[in-house]
Amino acid sequence: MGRLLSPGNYRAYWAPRQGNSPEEWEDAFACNTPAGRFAIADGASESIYAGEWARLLCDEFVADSSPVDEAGPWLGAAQRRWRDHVRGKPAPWHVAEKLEAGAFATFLGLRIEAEGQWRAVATGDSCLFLIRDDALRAAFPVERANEFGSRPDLIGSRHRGPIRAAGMAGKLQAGDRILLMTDALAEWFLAEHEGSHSPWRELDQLTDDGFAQWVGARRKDRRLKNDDTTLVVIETGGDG
Amino acid sequence: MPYTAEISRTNPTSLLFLIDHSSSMDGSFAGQPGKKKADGVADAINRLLQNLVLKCAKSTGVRDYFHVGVIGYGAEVKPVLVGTSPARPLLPISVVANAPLRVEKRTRTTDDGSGKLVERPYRFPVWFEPVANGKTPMNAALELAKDVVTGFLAMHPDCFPPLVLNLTDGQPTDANPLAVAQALKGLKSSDGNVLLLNAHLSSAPGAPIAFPNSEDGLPDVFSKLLFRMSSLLPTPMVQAALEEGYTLAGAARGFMFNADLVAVTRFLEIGTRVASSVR
Repeated sequence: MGRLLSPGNYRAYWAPRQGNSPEEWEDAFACNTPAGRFAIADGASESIYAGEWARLLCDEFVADSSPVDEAGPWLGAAQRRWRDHVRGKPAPWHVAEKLEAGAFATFLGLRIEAEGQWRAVATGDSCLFLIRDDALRAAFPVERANEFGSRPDLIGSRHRGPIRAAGMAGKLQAGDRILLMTDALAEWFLAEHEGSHSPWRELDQLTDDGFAQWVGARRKDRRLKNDDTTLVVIETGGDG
Repeated sequence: MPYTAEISRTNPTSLLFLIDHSSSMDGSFAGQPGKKKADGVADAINRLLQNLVLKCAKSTGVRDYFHVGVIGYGAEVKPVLVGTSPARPLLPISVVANAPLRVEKRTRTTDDGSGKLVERPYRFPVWFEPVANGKTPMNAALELAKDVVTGFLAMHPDCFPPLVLNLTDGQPTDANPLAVAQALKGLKSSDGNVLLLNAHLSSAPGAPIAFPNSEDGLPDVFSKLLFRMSSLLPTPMVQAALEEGYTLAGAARGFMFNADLVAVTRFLEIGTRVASSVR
């Protein structure tokens, strides 16, 4: 088998919560295909500068070269950049109070090696799904639609000490597809799968222009929660 | 299904507090001799407003998910939240956020992360001062609340149903408020009826009676009246009460009898937990 990844073999789609502007989208993703590193995060909207925090986590994770674990150098780097970002900002009492608490996000980081070994780490309910031979082969870290709650584990921008995280590893085969999603879409995905559907087929039909419309229709029929919605599709090589 | 409307900037809801300002509020909570009821209620409302503001605060500003008002009833019946007036009894939460009477520095004891307890300063905005003066014109307060909520519903017909939370330690002195309470609860948006919750503040020692589903255990005609005035708890509030550790039977009402300060705080928290559904 040759290289599983080549530059450009991922697609990403996102839509803000209905009623919010694109600038208010607080999910994030980042992809560094040459390094085989991918990340997705969901800024907790009750916290402040949460979208920036989610983006910094993703950017630092994919720029890092350390092994994938819950507290690589990327975490400290993201925290430093967040503190720099908010330092000196004008702050009425409510902003000052929230800045002291920090920003929070769920996070999932993935590394794929040239030989197809993959390893992921996750805090909270940003999810990874592995599709092989038109079937769902792995769901991580959430496995059932009813496991999504309103209080997922989060990584804080001012957090000190160990982070609650889960890990998973495996080996890809040619033709495998990995989907990364934030919680609203992941919950829909698992619920569809539990209803004996193949939701990845529906996602395969998406186009850049059609995603917002597709999301809007699912929200309207209440199958998809009204939340920031993000999808990253990573295609691995064909027969190599 | 009722009580499922999304609370958003384009579809905000309202929170209206009715606060007993009668002379007897100068007395202490039973079991807390040093704590005047008027002071405790003012602290609880200020803390609740602070938490609401913090829920809505983003780096780009405070999002107007709520319109908030406080009606005091004692020597007078009128809007008492700073910035409100009879002509403007509710304020968007962003306006509330930026106009407290003052911001006090207080300290709280917290874990420093290594298990050591440390004193940390925090900001405590004050919007609302304690008052204890006059009788208990609860009927007039509910009449005013009905007008305020009617006005809000005309502007926001599809909102999450407005919440009215009444805190009192006594018996109405103007008229029987049951009829106007029923009329207030009869108001509705497309998402359900207005919710009226009542908390009776303790004057006598004894455990609070929280969210009863029958008036049988209540000691007097006034507590039974407040029970009848109170809404049936809708599903989201039942869930909030269960999460807070309360045991509820079916058909529980939004009523707490003989509430001490801790119980008042939890009552307010449960009554406004729907606020956590905003993003």
